[in-house]
Amino acid sequence: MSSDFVEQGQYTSAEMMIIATARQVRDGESTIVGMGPPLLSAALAKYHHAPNMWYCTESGPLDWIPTRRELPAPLGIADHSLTQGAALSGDMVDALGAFVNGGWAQSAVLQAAQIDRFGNLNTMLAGTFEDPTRRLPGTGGNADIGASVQRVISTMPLETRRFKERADFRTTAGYIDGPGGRSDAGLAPQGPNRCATNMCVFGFDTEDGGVTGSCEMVLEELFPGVALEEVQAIVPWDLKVSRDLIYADPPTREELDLVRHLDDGGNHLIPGRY
Amino acid sequence: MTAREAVERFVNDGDTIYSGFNIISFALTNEIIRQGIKGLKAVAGSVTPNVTMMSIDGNVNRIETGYLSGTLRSKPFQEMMRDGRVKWNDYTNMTITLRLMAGGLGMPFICANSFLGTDYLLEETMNHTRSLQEDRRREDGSIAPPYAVIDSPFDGRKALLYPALKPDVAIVHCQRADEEGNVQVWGPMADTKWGLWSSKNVLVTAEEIVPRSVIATEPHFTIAPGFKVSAVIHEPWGSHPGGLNGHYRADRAWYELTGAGMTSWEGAREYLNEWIYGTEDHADYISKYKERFGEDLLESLRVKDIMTPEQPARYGWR
Repeated sequence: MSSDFVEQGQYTSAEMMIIATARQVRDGESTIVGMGPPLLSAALAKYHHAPNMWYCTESGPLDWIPTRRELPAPLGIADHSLTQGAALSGDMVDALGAFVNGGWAQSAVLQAAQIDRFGNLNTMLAGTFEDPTRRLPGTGGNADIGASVQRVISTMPLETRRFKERADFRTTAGYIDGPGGRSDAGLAPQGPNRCATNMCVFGFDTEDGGVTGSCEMVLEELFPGVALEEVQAIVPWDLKVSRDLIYADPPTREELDLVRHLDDGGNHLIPGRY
Repeated sequence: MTAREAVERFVNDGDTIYSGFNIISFALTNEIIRQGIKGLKAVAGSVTPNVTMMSIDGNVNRIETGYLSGTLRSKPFQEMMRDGRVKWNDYTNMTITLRLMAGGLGMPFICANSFLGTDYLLEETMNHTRSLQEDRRREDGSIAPPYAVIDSPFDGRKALLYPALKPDVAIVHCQRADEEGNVQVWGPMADTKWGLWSSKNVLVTAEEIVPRSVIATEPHFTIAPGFKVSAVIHEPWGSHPGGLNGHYRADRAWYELTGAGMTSWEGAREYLNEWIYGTEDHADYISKYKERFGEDLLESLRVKDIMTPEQPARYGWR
């Protein structure tokens, strides 16, 4: 192992989740970034390996370019720091309308409370609609984004309450009920999608954005020190595992230092929450 | 006009109110609470803690929004959403903005694809027991849906229609306005412009009142023209504890010091009694804050790095 990698025990699984999410963000791509940890992941990508990505949020600013090294990651999608260096400071009709629904956002980074076997996201509630065990904030722009953005990178810790055979409420369309689900619903194909957790990274079994293939979640990368069985024990369905399953690289020193710097003492990685 | 006069004159029990997304007028929010206006319906792409505050004493009892931003920290608010004291239907950030836009453009509805393939289309989501069915009752007694799937008459593809929103009143804070009520805003604008265009009465608090000639040098920042605005009120720190681009950051310490009170019934009551019912107006609220926590804490929120144009836009014609 290169000495540039940080040893296990010197970083948290939450930090690894942020880093694994950031690694999915590509340079040069226009990306719509959602609330919470995605703001930190996309900021890491921007500083680390994707300086030419368009960092955009739904409240209107397109192309956040922080000019000072000490700037932390934005706290929310309407954070006033998002106008720093922006190419366009518009409103929701510009950002979610023309940019996202108009098909110009090439990828999205979204958090959710739940994800299901077919990549549908839930940010609405836990339990049933009439008698929820927990009401969540609602979809924000996630439903708008899931309907229109080609490549969705979702992120959340791997926990049984979050990984469901069917999400308690589908706020954001992934592949819906499997192959053909998106086109039956009236939506364009979507993919390749990813879900990065605190233990591993999942892809989805479809080559053409949900037309063919099983469209199910597939385990693609395990984090250092995580056993396949641990992941299988948490996911409640018979999880598909990629034939090319790999171990992800641990954080590099640079990635880890950047995450800690950008998080500015726990803005996003609130201790005890992740 | 003062905030008190504006609320007395333009906000009525039962009104639908555009309550703001990220440039919130807490000055007007607090005044609505002081005057005990009841039964408002709050609409905004995302509703924020100003709606939590207005829900405690029933100023707001109905919500249409895409996101409950920071409001679920409040146990009272959660409780009222669960037991139906606050009624609600969910949309998205985009579809609320589009609905306001439709209202502003005088269209009856607007089209989007945001809910295709999701559980928003289930009957139990649209007409759940705490939903806003009564607000959707038609003249013949039947209940209109909150949105509807159609096959496009042009190419047969599925799409959704969302009804226009036309609030009775909008409240918003802005960086600057002139005495005619021309409102200028910059920074992340979210749904603000359409909140103003769609609302019958627009009440604006402004950090600065500037001469008409200042507005005219940068007219591209104007999001609502004077004739659309019913009242403009000079309110420094009018967005506190929220932030205002170029002026001050959101007061995160407030959440620890006072706003955290919103999390329990006792705390919420204490907060309202001390900071809202216990103050005359926003200026009094700000002086109380300075007395309690020191002027330095408030001043520490001020934005210090002001970005000014390297090369201002060139307007001109001769």
